[in-house]
Amino acid sequence: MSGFRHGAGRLGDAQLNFTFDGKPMLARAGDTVASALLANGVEVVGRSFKYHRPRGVTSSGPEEAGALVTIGAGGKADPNARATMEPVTQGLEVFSQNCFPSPKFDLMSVNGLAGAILPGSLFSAGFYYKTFMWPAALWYKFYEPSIRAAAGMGVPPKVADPDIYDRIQMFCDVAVVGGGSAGLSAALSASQSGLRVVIFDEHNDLGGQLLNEANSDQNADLEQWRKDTIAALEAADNVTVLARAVCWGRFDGNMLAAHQSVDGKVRQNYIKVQAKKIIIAAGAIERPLVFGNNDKPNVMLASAARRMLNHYGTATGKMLAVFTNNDSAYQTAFDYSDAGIKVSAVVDSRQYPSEALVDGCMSRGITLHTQAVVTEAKGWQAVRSIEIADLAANGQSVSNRRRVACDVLAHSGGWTPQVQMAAHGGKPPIYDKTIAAFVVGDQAPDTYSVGAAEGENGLLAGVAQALEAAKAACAELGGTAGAVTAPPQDRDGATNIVPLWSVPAKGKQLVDIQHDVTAADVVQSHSEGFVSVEHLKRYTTLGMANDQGRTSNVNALAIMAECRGVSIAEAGTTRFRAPIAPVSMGGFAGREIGKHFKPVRRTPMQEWHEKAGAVFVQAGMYMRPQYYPQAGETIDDAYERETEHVRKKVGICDVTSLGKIEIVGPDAAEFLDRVYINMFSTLKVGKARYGVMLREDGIVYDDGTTSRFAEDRFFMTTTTAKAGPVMAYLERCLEIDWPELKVRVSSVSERWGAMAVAGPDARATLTAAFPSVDFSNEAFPFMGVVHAEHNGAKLVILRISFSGEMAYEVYATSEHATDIWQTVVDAGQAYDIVPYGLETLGALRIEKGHVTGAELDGRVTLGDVHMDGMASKKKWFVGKNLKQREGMVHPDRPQLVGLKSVDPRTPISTGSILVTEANATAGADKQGWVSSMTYSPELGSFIALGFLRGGKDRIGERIYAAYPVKGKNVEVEVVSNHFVDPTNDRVKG
Amino acid sequence: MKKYSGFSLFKHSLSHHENWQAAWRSPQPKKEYDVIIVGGGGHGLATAYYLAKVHGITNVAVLEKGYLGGGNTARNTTIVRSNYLWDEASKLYDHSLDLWKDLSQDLNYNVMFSQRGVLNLGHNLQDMRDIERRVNANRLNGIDGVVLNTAEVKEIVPIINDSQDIRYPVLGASWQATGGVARHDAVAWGFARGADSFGVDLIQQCEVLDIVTEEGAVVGVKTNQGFIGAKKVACVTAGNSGVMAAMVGLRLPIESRPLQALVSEPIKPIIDTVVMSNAVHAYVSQSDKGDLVIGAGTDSYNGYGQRGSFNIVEHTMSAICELFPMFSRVRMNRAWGGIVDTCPDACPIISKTSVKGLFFNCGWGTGGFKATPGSGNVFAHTLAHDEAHPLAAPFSIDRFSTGHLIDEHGAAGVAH
Amino acid sequence: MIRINCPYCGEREHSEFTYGEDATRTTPDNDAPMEEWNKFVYERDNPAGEHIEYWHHAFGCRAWLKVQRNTITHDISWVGLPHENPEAAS
Repeated sequence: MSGFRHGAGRLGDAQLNFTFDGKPMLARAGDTVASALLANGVEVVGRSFKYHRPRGVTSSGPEEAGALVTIGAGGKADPNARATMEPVTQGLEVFSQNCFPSPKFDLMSVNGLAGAILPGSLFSAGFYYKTFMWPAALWYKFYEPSIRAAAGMGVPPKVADPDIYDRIQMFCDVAVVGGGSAGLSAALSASQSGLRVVIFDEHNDLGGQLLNEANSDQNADLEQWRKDTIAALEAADNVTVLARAVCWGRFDGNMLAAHQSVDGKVRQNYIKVQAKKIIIAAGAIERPLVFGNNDKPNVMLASAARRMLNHYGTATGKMLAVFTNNDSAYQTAFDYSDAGIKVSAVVDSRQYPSEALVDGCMSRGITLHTQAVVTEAKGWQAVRSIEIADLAANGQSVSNRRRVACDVLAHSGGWTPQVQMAAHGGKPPIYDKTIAAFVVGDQAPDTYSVGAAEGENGLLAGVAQALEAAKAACAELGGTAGAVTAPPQDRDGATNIVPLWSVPAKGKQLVDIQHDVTAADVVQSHSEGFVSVEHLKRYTTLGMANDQGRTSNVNALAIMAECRGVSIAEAGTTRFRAPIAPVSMGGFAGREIGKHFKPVRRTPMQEWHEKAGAVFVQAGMYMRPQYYPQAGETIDDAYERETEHVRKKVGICDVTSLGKIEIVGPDAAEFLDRVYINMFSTLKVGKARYGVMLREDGIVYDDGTTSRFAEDRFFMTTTTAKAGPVMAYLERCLEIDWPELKVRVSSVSERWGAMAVAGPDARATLTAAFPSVDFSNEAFPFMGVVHAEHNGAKLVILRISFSGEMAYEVYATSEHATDIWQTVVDAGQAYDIVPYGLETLGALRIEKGHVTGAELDGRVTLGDVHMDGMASKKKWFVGKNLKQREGMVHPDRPQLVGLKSVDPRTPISTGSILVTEANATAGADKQGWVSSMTYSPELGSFIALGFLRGGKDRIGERIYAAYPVKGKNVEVEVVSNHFVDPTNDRVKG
Repeated sequence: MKKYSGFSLFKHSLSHHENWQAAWRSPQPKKEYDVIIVGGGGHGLATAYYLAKVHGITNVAVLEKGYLGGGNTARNTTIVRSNYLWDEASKLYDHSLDLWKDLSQDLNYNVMFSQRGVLNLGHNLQDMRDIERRVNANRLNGIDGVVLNTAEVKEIVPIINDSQDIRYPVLGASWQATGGVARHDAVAWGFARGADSFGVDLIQQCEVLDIVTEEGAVVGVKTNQGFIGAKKVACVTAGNSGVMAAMVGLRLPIESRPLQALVSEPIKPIIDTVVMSNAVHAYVSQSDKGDLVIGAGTDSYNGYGQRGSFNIVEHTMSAICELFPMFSRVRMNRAWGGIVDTCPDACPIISKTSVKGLFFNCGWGTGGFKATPGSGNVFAHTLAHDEAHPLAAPFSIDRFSTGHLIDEHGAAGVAH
Repeated sequence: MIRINCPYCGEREHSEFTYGEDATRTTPDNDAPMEEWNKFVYERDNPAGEHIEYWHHAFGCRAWLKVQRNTITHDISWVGLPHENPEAAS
């Protein structure tokens, strides 16, 4: 129990209650879970991944690597939440992770015992590659399941997420990433130009490092500056302040992405901002030092210990020690001392810290050890003392070890500018020796890195850089940035760092405390030849946990550089990629979940079908009626009834989903001649023709019916699935391939509703429905086109048949389509008309032998489906050249056949493979497959369409449709694919 | 090569693990080799290994412009399966699957091949028809597979959304129980170590700048470390194959597209198998570290930047949340991209070329990882005998002019 | 994301467009030999660097555009109509 509540910091008095592993705790409004836990004296928050070592709070921000908790329970559980970023709310439930039964007493910590006994860990880097291989069977049966069971950190919820997420798209002129002193200044200055500004900050309270400052009288003017600047931004009309927003990616074209936590109905907003200029003021985060047991709870970054005290009013311990290689950590010691908390030592690895710092220690009675290091943090569960030693002049060894008591150790290995956002998109950062850090250097276009994010830690100097950037950004957009008041105090940015990448002493020195990767692992990786930083990362897994290596990457590559004997610049960094912090997946989905995942296209008659009790099925983006069951019918009952009914009487089917395209112009016929395999320039006005299009490689692309309305006007239909692609294809042909053709194309798919009316009584039905039209065979022959009007609706009626019965397709302008449908249905009552769905549409067309997408699957040729005769020999058309390739006309190619079940009552399953053996097993000669099947009421048998090697010459042969998945083998007879009315008498009657 | 084992781990831990031998040498390139393999990714390293092990050809160099296994091998979603549609493809992938089974023992390197099964979901009737046909064909090829209905899928993946009331409901799936995942980096490192132990030189940071020919035959390559002679040059350079081909004036039917993938943060085990869905454009499995490994479809445009557009990832995230609504609260931790060399029929090119001594193994598109051992194995045969291995023969570059394409777009499983 | 400056609509995100692939192919004559047609349909330069390609503003004005884009950096240096060319413009 080291931490305690000390003063107010900047938080108010409002008390909150929350629980940690069920235990009641107190907090104040504005606390994070981390600051509250520390204030309640909690030290051990969870356990580490590999060794199950105790973990506590290590930072006060997004770089948190130790205090990962699960917030909430059930469907609202949020695993792997960083305690330093989660605000406490009334009644919040917080749970520890990766430990059982509790963080303090964890059974899996035996993993770490092996480390206590052996000098080097059994579980060193890449250990799993070197073992678990014998006996072979045990890998899958035992080793792997054991590894998997121990994997992961938090437990994810197992029920659906009940929360709502929104997606928001914003546009702005200047985006500012980071709400510290630099970011605030840049945003305010830019906003005064009148340009649109968006500013992001990850925390609830803006101010960045200003929040580390003591909330004292001496700092009152600085605090006022912070508040005033924020207030001015919030008041400005042209500024959007996004707090609690993690800006995690910068993409091509100056697009930024962020996830913002909000309260209320919506849990998070996924915000994309399209900016013109981006100012990156993302600050810097402190680096840890690498020494023995540096992962022990209550060993934390110096600036974090400082923020806990000064902002949250949480003293992290009763006796503070500080270990540092640079100036900045001293302020933590001074602030704690000035707050009346004992500071047992400042341990500085440098030989000569500045006089001001030495005096600062002396005047406060703080013992200063120079040219000294901490070799080990000691204490059972949390730090209770440190072992320190003198550092040799050459930095290679230590001597004179002694103990110093403390219950919190604040350390600082330097500062790492947050260059990730600036580096997205490829340019690697460069190493600056003077500050021992990577900076952006070469800025991406339209991007400015300023302040600590570019290595400038000084307060006024950073603000000055930010204002320069705002001025430049605005100027390039034609605006003038405004003058803003600078902060009333300065803070020296120079850290006078002397790098100390690891302490030269044996012991478990953690580099990545999330994945338990030690300095020794890095050395071992080097000795095994994994020396590139990419190999190092993948071999040791360092930097691959939730914290993404924010506090470990630089230390690790510096150690590797030392092993290799190269400069840090040469060792380089791994590639920076979005996201720079883990972001929840739900945000990306937003509200487009469930039924809203993709839009549903509806036809004008959709409601009619719903009222008629249709069962719907997915057909592309549409939900089309599959069948209209009558009382007690199964799908098979329904479609068999509907099919028979259409063949004997009359039925009506909604075919609106077909693509419809108008093609207009003096060269329209020539155009169609080029895209279709058959001739359309010879098509007479008032007639329709079935057409097939090929791809340029000779494969069948789409089919449809095209009608000629006038010399220069055609009306094309396409399949449902290809409506969009064919439209784009035609536009492409006209704009790119044949711009000389005078043709316009227009999609009219949504302009027309469409219905098929089919059956022996179709003519009578339509005559009754539309008395103004002459439907007699002489006036309206097969493949004829008639235009009509009815009750204000424009109609186009084609006499074409997909079903093989006498049939018409009636196209009506969309706003009237339902009326027209109803008109036909009403007129059809006298003829016992029924609606029929896709299942029946399928049964009818299979009986007739027409092909659909089930056959034309992007792999078949005209020859395969017996349509090569349709292709004109007189003209060129797309695909003509490559369809002649040897492999495309090979006689062994599978060809379309009809299949009739030898036992009429035995169904032939689609997806069956055609073989000649009765009981085909592995190795059988596969000769084809079944593509569509149906029960045929007319034939009283199950039938199918399929493809069979050399099929057209095998009519009459008996083969088998093998379905090994269910152990079935159905004997079938190969027949012509035209089962019903092969001479087309019905359609032409 | 010093053998790895549980005992050797213990022995080395006594000496602080300071004495492990380098997994492979870092030699200077010789003046000449019998075979130069350009590309030190999984397929190239596997080729080198099998050339040495099976064919006794060890005077071989693998030239890698970056670090070994740093291209697509380092960044894929690690799925292994062989349930393709056409005989030619499924036989090749199944040969690879056979090699996977004993690969760890063979290489003395744990590639962590885990046969936890692969589900390919069907979301509409045509999907299911295609699945049935593919699995029936698989079975007649001696490749395992079953067709599952919704309830059976739910039994294997309890957390999947089996509601029939959503936009793309799960109607069923194909299930290949012998498929699964492997540790991608380990495969590259295992083959590298193995090849090196036979004397193959692995030369990193060595970029081939030109392929040198004389009278229509290969004589060597010009690199950033000088000229290296060889009578056989094999290009195994994935997305950069077009760049290599251009060096000898060849044009391939390949376009290089970005392919993205991502991992979540590590969570406790929640999904035991691999789930793939063409319709919603996403596939997911869970690594042994607890990360959800999620793959997306390719970007539609050509790209060599190893990055794609974020709207593809957004769509994949939506799809994942559709299938697994609880994952909405899980966080995406890292996302990245690679360069995939896509072929018009979604099948690879394993082929001689019109230049004597020049061979290409490329065009694996989004499906190369599963083929790593198989590809290397048959390609090594092709190189050793100067004649295609029977399993590789259908994948000659000639198939585009003859029209004998092997269209595997449906079974390839990833949206193009 | 990649921003494309449509001559009719202004700068838009590439997700408003569909990719139209290589724009450097020249269509052979209708009766050219099979070999030429094969090359046309299948072979690609697929360069790592400057690439001239088509994009279709499918969710905007539906114009087909020709674009010069670097396939490594994704930077677009020129946008025009299908029968224009980058060199002519400079």
